Amino acid sequence: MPHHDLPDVDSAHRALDEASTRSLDSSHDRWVHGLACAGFGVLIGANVGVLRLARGTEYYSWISLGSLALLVALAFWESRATRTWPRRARRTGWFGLGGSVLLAAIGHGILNTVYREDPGPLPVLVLASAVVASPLLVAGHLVARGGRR
Amino acid sequence: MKDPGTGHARHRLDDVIHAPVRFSIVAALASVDQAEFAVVRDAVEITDSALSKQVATLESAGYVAVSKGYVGRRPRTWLALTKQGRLALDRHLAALREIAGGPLE
Repeated sequence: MPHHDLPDVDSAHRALDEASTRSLDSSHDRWVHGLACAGFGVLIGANVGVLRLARGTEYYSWISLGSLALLVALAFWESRATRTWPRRARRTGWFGLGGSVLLAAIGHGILNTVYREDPGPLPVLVLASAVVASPLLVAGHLVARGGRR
Repeated sequence: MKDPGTGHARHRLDDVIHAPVRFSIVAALASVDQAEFAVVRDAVEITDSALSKQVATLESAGYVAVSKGYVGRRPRTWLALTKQGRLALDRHLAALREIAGGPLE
């Protein structure tokens, strides 16, 4: 077999040291991706409550467009501010996003069924927003904290 | 080819990864899902052209995936270790540990 320099014990140790120290994992990038994840959660969660409160008013479209613009801006900032994707960060983020979007759909469904005429009481809307945001907040925390390699 | 599960551990070393620069690239990429070309270049301390050449070898072995895109107007190249690359690195590290005389980590 055309091996380059077959390693002796010392060079095997050196190679193993190299493998364990040559890490691109960046706490800054973890923090940015985690913060972005949490930001997506807050925006999606807040949308659930705020859009119900704004339903039927002239602000509804502006709030929808504004939140969309904020989501795009947040995604842009995330990609500009980072140069690596930490291990499992992307997958964790997608799980969080999936969870929040699913809860948002369920939340809208329940709120629309229970409160047909009015937006619903403020504490309920706040609670619904917090529940919707929670998967992405948890995902953001996991990404920022990091995990095993 | 010899059965990779038998014989001396050196038979289980991966020829593609065994080259020092490529080993550094793969070891660095193992710590992340994806990294910018320039980050890997700086971490491994080689030139753009040297990294391109080594990445091409790793890419043709199926160990590294290269993707290109833009952030704003700036073009960026991203490097990622494939599943196959991760498995190859794990096997290579296991062989090195055996040569070094037992589990280190």
